[in-house]
Amino acid sequence: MEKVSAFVRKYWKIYLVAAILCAVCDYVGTLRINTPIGTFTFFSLLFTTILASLLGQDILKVFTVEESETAGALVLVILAPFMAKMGVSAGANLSKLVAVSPALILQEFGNLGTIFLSLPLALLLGLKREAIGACYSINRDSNLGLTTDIYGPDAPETKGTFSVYVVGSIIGTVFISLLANFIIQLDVFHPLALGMASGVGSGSMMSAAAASIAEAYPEFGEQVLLMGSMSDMLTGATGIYMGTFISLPLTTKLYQWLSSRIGKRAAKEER
Amino acid sequence: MVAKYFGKTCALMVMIFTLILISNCVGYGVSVVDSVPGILILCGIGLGGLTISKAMSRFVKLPSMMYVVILAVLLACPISPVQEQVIALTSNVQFMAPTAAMGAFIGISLGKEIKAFAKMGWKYIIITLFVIFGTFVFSAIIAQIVLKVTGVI
Repeated sequence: MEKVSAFVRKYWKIYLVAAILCAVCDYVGTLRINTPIGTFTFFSLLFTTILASLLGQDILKVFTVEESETAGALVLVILAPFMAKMGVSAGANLSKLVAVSPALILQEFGNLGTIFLSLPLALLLGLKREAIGACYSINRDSNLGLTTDIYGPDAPETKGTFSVYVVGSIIGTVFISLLANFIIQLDVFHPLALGMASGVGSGSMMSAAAASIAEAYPEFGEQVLLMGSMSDMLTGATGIYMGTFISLPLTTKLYQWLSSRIGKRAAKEER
Repeated sequence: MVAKYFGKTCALMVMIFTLILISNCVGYGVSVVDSVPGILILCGIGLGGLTISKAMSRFVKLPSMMYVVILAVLLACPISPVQEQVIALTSNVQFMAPTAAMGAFIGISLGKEIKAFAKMGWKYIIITLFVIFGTFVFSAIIAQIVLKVTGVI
């Protein structure tokens, strides 16, 4: 009995708030905004995230830091039935999945592309070794673990990873919704390719992006979400190895090559 | 230890079951009677996958969602004896139904990071946007090319 009351005390507030937010935000439903460049759609996921984050220790103080940590652990538990739904869809569409598997696997290497874009930018903005940690991956939980493990908790590389991790947590879901909506309007990519691209390695970012794409291409709806979740799972499964053996060494090499050039130019301009 | 984990996760899953039920009924207009069996199956698969993951973590460390997905694929693939029932019942559960509650949990867990975020400075915000942009767009480019080359699209 004691256990039960401890359980209730630990979770009741989180549960109550989640239930109210679900009911309200799902009742209001999907928000569609018509702009000159096309329709932007935003899902209840975005609104529950934003509203709930306001209730934390730093703003409205409804939740304590411990409760925030408890809620963080619950994300994994609710991700399970969500991924189970994706798995059922994968099992039902097994032959389709086999047909797209080369693309699904190879697009994982697209995650390396971001290094060539963001590392020069980070150096131009004046970052030093922080840039390596910040730019080698999308910096979700597993990457944060990896950099901390390799460089130690106080290293500049870890600071870079941690910073992008925090910023990504706060604005990642909103930004990727906007980005996906925008890229849909360009109409250069097939919905299946966009679905795969949404699997960046974060369940919430993936859902936000893939749902917008599925909404824009209803005839591919279920397949888009399937591609997104499979790609996301693949990123999760390969992330550590990709980071250790490919993207971190690559970023470090590129950093050494670039920093002598960009660093010198910046020094010259200062003079 | 696995039994204890199972018990705790089971209790949490009951909680999550009701949250998904709210979203599926309120957000997507599915009736309670139609929703319950599908959500039960999904939560059951989730619970099973998480527990297997916990049991296996002594031997090999893999993301727990892998076990969940593999379990679901096995139940819903053509060789499964319950394929039809699993697919039919879970089809009443909308894909996005669990995401509202997921957002709420993520939001609550972010509550303690807002101050850290405010101190982060504009440089890291720009870099983060570029990192996400690059990850998304380069994956889309490769996926598009490979899908074209392999003749899927």
